[in-house]
Amino acid sequence: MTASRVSRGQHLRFYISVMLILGMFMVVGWRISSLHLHPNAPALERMKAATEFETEIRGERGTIRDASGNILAMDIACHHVSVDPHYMAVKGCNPKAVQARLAYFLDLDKQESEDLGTILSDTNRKYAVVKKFVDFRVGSRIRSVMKKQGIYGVMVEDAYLRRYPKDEMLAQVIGFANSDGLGISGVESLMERYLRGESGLRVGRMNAKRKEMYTERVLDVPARSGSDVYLTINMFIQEAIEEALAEAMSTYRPLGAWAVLLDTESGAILGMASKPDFDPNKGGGFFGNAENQRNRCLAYGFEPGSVLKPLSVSAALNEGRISRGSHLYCEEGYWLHEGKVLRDSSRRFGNLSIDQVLMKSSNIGTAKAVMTMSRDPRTGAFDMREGMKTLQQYYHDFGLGQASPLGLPGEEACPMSHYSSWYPIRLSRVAIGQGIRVNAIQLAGAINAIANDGKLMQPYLIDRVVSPDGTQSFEAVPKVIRQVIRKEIAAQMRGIMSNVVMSDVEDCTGHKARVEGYDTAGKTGTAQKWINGSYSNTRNISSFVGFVPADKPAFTLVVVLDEPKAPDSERQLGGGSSAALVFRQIAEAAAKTLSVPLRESELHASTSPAWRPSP
Amino acid sequence: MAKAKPNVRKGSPSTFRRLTPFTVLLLMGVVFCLIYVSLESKIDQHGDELKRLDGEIRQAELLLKAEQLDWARTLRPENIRRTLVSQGMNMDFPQHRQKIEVFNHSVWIREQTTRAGRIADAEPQLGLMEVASR
Repeated sequence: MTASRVSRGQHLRFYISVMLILGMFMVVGWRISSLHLHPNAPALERMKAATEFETEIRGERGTIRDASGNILAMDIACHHVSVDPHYMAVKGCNPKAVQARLAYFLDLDKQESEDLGTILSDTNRKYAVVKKFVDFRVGSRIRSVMKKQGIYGVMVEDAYLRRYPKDEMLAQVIGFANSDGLGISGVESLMERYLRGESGLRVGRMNAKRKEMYTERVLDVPARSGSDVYLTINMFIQEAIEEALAEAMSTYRPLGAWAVLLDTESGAILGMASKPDFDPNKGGGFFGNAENQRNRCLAYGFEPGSVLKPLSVSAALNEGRISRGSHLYCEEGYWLHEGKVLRDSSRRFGNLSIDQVLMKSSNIGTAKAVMTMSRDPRTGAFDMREGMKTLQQYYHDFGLGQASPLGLPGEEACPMSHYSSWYPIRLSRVAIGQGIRVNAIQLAGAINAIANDGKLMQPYLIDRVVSPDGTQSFEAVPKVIRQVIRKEIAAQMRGIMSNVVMSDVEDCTGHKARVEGYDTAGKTGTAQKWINGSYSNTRNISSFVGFVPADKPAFTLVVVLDEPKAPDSERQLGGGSSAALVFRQIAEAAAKTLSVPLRESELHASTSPAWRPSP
Repeated sequence: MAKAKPNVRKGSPSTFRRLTPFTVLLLMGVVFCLIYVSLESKIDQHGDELKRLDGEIRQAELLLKAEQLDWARTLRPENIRRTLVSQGMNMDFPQHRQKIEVFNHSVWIREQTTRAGRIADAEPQLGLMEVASR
């Protein structure tokens, strides 16, 4: 037998080896096949758990913007930074180095840094939050530095935060959303269904490094952002209102101050503010003073006092029971009616024209004007019920006693009791704004009807809603609710209210509200507060309602101060000496912002052109 | 005399005949596997690249939002007013029918000088400019 020849035994060994190797492959193949074709449930579950993942992708909440698109509320990405001291120790990371880096990036003070050091030295701990809601740029920087320097155990978790870049501005109107992105109050709550984004879903598999394998993505439903809500608010007017109210808060030290400004023609709310307020960025929504979160323009019903007189007088004028030339005897400031005395503050008036009744804010004159509606025009007999019914109907038509159509949460609708339950004396009191409650929006809407030729406009705050794809899913259209008084009566009332402010007659209550360059119309209000079953002589609500310019109004403004005090004493101030000044300040800024044409005489007087380089 | 054993040599034509189809199949299988693996890895690479780009887009979006927030803060009327004052422009918002033009100061002076021919002739305009800027 030669070396080149293969023996039978060698053949046998070769074939046996091949058979064994093939057999092993077959066993492995069989096992793989059986696992694939008939997998057992626990093994499958383990495999799935190890490789598959399912992630919900958060749909961002839409932004809230003013009419010009300035952002008032938006979602912002941020990070929570946490540490795992146990894992750090396992990986041999130096806790001092981690402490120094985190303290630097997170801008921790000495105490916070020391606390972090204590946490990091406790190697039994597996999780501790270092700082929440860290700016996402800082978080990303920490993430990349830790990766570069091979530091383990620092976790940078993704999170979202609702931010309000204008801080306290419009705080009560916008409201706030909680950490789950759910609107809790204000526009955030009202427009929840538009603002809320739709979550997306991603299902796929991960590799051994626990990283997603893009090619193994089996489901990818993208998240959909919420729509952007545009308000009717004009930022510059809003700023002017906020500034004026803040000044009023420091000058007159009232319990609260609030104002609302409407576009006369459309009823759009161009500005609305309430002080004191809160900063929704500072967790004030949850932990701040609840009283400061109230939008007093809606959520605070008050007895309006004399600012209601224009409505009462316009009702009597519209009914044709009095005319602008009528004169009413004001009983020298003391009128015993239905067994109760009605006074004209501390002044004594004899015969007053309708203009004078409002200029001097005569309670007796207004009550008598309204009581003319109780007299039967044919027989001349008095029927108080008829007067009450008519007056209540007018108030109702002016929008009082009903919730405003804004739909914002927390509104005090101030319902009126039915006239049938009124005592006869009530007519004379309701006419002058006593025994009836209104909120500032209702009042602004009612006064705006006089400014707008008798047409009651529906006030609105939401201008439009724009979807992420750019389509408009909602657009507000100015809506006339009803014609409350005739156009000519509204014009007469504008004239009368203009006299209240512009007249040089002595005792004219509203002269401090004159807006330079414009004929201003308005009415002061000083209402005693109802405290412990009687009207207080020392505490009052001062207000001013009006519109500019008087002949062709561009906007209507209501200013209310709750218990304003004289700057140098505790003496309570009336509307004419507190709210009227705030009105003027806001109205001047609003007129300028809205480019309301100056009165003719002013136009000719201010001929100095703006300087510009000549070509 | 014993019967001579068949001449079975390694690599003999008959063995090749038997082994060649198997080797070819094996080689083809290996080649296909390599192609598959390389394609798979290429796809994975592209997938990773897409994921990275996705992440970058997301980061850019978030950065944009953060910038938007900063701008929204900066553009508060109160801040604009404060900035104007800090820049020495103690002015209010424009009055009714007042216009403000933003232009390049040095270019404007050059234009005025060129138009007038010499600086002395442009002085009235430049003087006005000075008054206005003061």
